[in-house]
Amino acid sequence: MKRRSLCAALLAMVVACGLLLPLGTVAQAAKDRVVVAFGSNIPTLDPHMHSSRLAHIADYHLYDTLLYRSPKDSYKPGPGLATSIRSLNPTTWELKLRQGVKFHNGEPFTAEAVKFTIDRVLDPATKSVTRGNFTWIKEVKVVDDYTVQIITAKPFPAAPEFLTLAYIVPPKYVKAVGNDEFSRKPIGTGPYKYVEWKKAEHLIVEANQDYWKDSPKGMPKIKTIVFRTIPETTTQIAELLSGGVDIIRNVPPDQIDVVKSSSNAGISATKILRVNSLVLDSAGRASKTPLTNQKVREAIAHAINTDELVSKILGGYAERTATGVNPLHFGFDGSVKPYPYDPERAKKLLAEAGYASGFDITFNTYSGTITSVDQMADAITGYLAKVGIKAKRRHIEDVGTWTKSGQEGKMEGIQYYSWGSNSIFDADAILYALMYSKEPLSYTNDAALDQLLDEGRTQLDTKKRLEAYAKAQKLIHEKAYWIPINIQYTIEGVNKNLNYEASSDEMMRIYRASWKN
Amino acid sequence: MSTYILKRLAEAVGVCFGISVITFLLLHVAGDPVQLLLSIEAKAEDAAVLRKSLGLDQPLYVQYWIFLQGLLRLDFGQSLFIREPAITLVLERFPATIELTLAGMLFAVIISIPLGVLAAIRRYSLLDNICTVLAVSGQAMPIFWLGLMLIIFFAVQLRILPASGRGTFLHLLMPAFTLGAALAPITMRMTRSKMLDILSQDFIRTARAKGVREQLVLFRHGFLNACIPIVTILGLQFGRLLGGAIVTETVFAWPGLGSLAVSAIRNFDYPLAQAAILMMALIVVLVNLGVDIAVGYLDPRIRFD
Repeated sequence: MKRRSLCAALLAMVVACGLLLPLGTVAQAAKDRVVVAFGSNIPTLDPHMHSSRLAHIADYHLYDTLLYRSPKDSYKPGPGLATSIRSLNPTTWELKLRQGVKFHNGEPFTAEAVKFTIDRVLDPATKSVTRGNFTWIKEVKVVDDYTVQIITAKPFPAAPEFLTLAYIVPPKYVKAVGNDEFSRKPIGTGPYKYVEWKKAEHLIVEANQDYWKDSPKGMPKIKTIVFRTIPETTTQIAELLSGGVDIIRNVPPDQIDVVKSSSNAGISATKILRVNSLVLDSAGRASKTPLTNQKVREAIAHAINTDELVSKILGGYAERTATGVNPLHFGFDGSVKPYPYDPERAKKLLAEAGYASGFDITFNTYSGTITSVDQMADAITGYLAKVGIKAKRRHIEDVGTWTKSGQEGKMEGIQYYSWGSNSIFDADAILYALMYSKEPLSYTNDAALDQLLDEGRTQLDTKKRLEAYAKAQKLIHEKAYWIPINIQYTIEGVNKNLNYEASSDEMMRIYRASWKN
Repeated sequence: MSTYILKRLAEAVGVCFGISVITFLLLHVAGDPVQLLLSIEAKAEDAAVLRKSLGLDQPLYVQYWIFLQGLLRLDFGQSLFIREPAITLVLERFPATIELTLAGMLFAVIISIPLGVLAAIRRYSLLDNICTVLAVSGQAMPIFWLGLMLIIFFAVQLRILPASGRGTFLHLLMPAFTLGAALAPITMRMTRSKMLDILSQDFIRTARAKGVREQLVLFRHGFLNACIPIVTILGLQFGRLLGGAIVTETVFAWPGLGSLAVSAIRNFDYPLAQAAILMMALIVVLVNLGVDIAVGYLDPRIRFD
């Protein structure tokens, strides 16, 4: 009997060793590929049929856009498939297109492709979810093979910003195979070509050897990129630490040390456009609360120890902003300093406002984009309690319900808002949507502020725009219309042997990555 | 027999219809997919255009009626996010879930039945006590936690198994064990108690008195009789196993039906969620029917009326 179990054990070991061999081979062969973990599935590979950040990252490798944000040029819209853009008159933009660029199937890139792409997005029959990014366009005129004119309905200074979202698709191919097939087997002009997509598992792309030479993206350095779906963050971290995956997104701040202390991975973090703030219903739009009183709002600004939140909960991976505008936004005014943490002053201000014994207020939060939202919200509730403000948390799990309640003016009290500015690096993208009195998400009603924001939006003179935004930010700060908490960071875990840096526009530029030695 | 099966199949249709109504209502009440599709910064006008083009501006009963008409043609509609027929997506994921669930069940059976039988034969022995402790801890352990612990130990520390994904046999080991560990305790305890029950019966004493070999007594007279309730339990637990597969699939990034359903529900992707949930319901109903028939064969006393 004993001999038999010994034999069984030996057999088991031999079988196990045999099974383990392939793992070693995989590890050795991994130098010509990089594996990136995504938290959810890519919905489609048609760049105009989704608003998924992860799918945008894949699109960035498969396609090129008319204008491109280069990290080297502080993410300003620069040449991409268009070599230049100029405003002919307030409603006409002229773009010169790059010559000699070919799609992966050999189809040439011309002005016709630009017109086809934009017409296709704007056609309601396409059911494009990114249509809203292009509705400012009235018409695309083909001047010659390499020149197009974009006619707008009204003057639209932000046009170059939005053209960074204009992924160009190949007209002949799309017409031949139809939208459905195109979304499964995409053809672009990008640095990587489509190889295989198993929807729940992975997307594999391969370096485009014929990629156009002058691209600001540069020639791809690693042969294959595998985008793998791994929903669970802990599993992603385990894969990173065990070498199964080379880059993961969204490392939770409390796991940063785990990654850093490992032998084969590190952290690459950088600030992004996203700003998290406490939006106060200063206009009394949802209901009349003490927040309509400026002194109360100032008291809240003094009551919260933002520096402590940033260092203790976010592990230092965040930055402060006094006005809610991000230094990455055009129009940021760095001269305004945040309210200092001063609970005594907060109590005094509350007493002056007639709330010496504090008050109750609703504190709305939601799940999704804010890093460590629960811990942050709990800490904020704690700070408010210290000065006598009893914040009752109302958590909304679903972002759709959150946005709808916000738009319908039902968010009473405080909202813990997060705003990514639609990836537009301009103060207009955050201030207009959240502060302009007639906007559906605005809980502020200040005619002077409206006037400044109008000026910033329509003025084509850069200097005058800057002035308008500087004034607007001073006003917002002085009246404490909101309490900016932090500028968010993207925190990515990266294999130590990989040259790769996180980007500020929440994109991942894996085409720039290379293996060390 | 065939009338019985037909009757049960008719019941299955009723069950699936009920489930479709409940999931349809719950999903539609819970949230709105349009804003998720568009991103939070999108304007209300854009949302309205999209809502109309997806037919989500129609009253709920109209939407359900359209859904039901499609269902008769086995058309669940298009996934709102993936823009592919929901049924295609579900069928694509189906093999992975079946593979995981069956492997989990196999693990559970291989571990639990021999241990249950041994524990019954050597009642109150050290082995029996160890089995009891194992069963209690197994039942108390959340699947999620066990899965993560296995990953940390075998993938991160020892680096002998891949942490997640599907592909080779090695990829299957940890998820199947995790899932099996949830089912094994109840099966083991059931096996033990049934074996004890049967071994104290008169016909066992008779068999032993006749001088039948002990191994034959234990297997043919004891174990085979204990199989009937074990098969029933395994069948009933199959639904739980599918539920467990949802968690296991998420932890191990296993590309199955469970994780598809979870992401569809999170996105309020009605057509896809409906298709995934109905498919799982159908599996449970069919497995239960299969178990009933199997039990009939195992126990000739059971008649289908």
